[in-house]
Amino acid sequence: MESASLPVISIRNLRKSYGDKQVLKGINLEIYPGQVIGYIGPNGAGKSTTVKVLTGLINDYEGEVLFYGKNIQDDIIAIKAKIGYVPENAEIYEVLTPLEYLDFVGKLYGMEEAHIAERAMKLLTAFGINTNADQRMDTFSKGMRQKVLLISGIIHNPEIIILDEPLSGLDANAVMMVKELIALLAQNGKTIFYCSHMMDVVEKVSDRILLINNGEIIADGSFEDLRAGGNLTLEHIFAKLTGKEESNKEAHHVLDALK
Amino acid sequence: MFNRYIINFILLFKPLFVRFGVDPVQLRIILNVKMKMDDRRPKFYSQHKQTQKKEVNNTSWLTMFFLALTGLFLAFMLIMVKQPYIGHTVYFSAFMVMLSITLISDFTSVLIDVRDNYIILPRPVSDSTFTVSRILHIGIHTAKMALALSISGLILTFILQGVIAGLVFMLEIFIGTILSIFLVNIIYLVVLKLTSPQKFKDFISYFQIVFSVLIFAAYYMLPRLMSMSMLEGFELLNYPFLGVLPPVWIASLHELAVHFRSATSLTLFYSVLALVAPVISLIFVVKVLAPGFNQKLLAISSSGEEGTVISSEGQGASKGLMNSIAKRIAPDPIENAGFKITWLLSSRYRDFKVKVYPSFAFVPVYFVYFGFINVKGSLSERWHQLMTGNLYILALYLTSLILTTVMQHVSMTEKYKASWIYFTTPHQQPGKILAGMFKAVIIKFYLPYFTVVSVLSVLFWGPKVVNDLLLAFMVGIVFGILVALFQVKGLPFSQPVNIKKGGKIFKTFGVMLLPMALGFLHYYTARWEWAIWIAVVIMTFMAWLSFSFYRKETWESLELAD
Repeated sequence: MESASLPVISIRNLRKSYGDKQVLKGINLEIYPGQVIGYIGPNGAGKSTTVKVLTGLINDYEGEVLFYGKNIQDDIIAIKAKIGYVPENAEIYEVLTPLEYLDFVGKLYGMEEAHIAERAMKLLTAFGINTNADQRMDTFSKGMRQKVLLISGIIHNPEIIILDEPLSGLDANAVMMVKELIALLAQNGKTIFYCSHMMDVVEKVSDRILLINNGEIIADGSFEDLRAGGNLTLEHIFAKLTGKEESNKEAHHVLDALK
Repeated sequence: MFNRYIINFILLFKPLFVRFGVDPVQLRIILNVKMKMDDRRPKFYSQHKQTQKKEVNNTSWLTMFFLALTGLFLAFMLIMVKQPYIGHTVYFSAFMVMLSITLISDFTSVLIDVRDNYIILPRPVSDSTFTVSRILHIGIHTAKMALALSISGLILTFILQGVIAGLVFMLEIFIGTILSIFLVNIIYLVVLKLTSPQKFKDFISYFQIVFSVLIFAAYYMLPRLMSMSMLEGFELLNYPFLGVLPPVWIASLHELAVHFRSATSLTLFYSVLALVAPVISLIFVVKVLAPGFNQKLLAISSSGEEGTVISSEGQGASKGLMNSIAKRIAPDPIENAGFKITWLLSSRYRDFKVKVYPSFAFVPVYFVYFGFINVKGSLSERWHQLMTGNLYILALYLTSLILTTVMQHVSMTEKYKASWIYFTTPHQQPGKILAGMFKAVIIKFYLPYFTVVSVLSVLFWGPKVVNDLLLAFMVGIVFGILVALFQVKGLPFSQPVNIKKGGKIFKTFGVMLLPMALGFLHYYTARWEWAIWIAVVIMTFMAWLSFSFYRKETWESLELAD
């Protein structure tokens, strides 16, 4: 697949620093249509910074970020129109109702009001919160807000979907549904960039896993490639590659402290 | 509906926006949603009256209504102060202070709201559209507030002084508004320069506290002060140092345009300043202040903790003091826990501070009002009357208002859900936590304040007041426990804010009646020293009895949050 089509996203030697601290240390990456990228790494590894660069939230970086061969800086509006983004920290205007919020977001993507209303209701129904469509979100549970956030990320039917911890607060049924949805969206040609700490989910939904540590990508391949014929889970591979294999020892320290 | 008209008006300048690279369709969408959210956001003016989960749809109009009322009140200055020059100076001083304070206390949350970065910026919206929508949103809000505050004065000027004066007044309002925005910008930048981003949020809380006190004090003091003769015969231009105040420049402009015959060269100079200052300040804001300000805002956004929590208090020496007091007066482990959690959280929850701290100003304001302002005669006569009377007793009993306010709020916070810990830990007697809480409230809030009032009372009225102090203190303690028993039954910071209290009108009335009745009784029996001493003994016994009862509160008698 990789040689047959042009990459949707190309990242070349991406570097980003906050003051003296270098967060991204020269990332190179090519992502192809229909791929589900699982982007994992420990806290502070540079995941969120990468996502912010890809969504155009950060633009003072070194290196190049290309979408469909075009530099993101050259036509950021056109590129943003193709992206759907679900941020990690469930930022939402909670004094609005889901319908009002989705209408707002849809219109920013240039969608027609009637079209937004119709699609929003279908999506709210699919996520099981259609009965709350006209209630203000300040009374919603974390899971309900997350569902609205997910819907707002896909309402314009984007080509590229960037999900940062999208399952946060969702119940088991919703998690299963979203996992299925990711697979179906990929089958329909969408490119998905999935950031998460939930290794079991990343293991199941991703066809390519990128592991970032200290601002560098230290592993890139399918789950099968990463475990190299062994019997390890992604959790174990993660611990091994990020040098945190001593979790057992740490647990013992905790137990000792209780004695 | 009005919002739509405002947006339609703004979009009359569509060609101009397009020239600056703004997408007018997106601009309309963003402004529409922003103004809708303003109408639904709890505002400082209305937050005390809201009940939990009740939806609000008109807060920005409600704020305007309150400002219009304040404006009506201010407009009387234009009539009541006999010299128009001074009247206008006082009016615009009040106008600028009110507008600046409203902007800071009500709109800061909007200004430092960084959700837009995650909600709007990832969408296909240009930087120009985003920036202009933000500027216009702030501009519309400020214009609404300025209009509400000045509408009464404007109408009055048109009616009493004619069209030219009215038009000049409009210009004055515009100048006053621009200079207020400049003032707010300067305040923000100075605070950001001197403190950390986290402290900036604390500063806003303290500003809200000062705002409450100012409104409260102005409500009592200003009408009386305006009718006093102190402003008569005052010549503004005889005090050149007043020339540094922008309201003097604005008033000069009015003086020059409307009372030009009495205008002097100094008036002319101030008028020129009034016209030039807004232009210079606008350039200064746009070129110098705004760019750095946006960077600072980003720092605030990344400083984490939202809303309710005030940082870094209870550190070091203050924590050591708390520990040593707790060890001595609340030795029981559960009581100790109740004491410490109340002490610590009452320093760190912003919502608690904003509601409670203004009550500290009630005592001096009421005291000055009843002791000086509400009394006839010259200043020395009023002072003599005060010293020979028993008015210190009023101050002592007013102090118990602080205790009531603290007790009414100490069980509430927006972060009440953290209180699950009380209900999952294996202790039988919540009364012990309540006892610790009550002791913390007394030691931290009531006792220091009461001590200050007591020292002042002894200094001015002599040692004969000691028994009165003891009696008032004990009545305060009993009153505090009654409030806790009958009005607010909740563990420290365990209930949502503004939880509905149904069917308690009679209880509340009864509880409030007690200190009033005892206070009056005390006031009129103060000359019988022996009676006061007997009352001290009785009230001490009552305090001990009621506290013992309070300490035995059970789970059944507590009001638990959902």
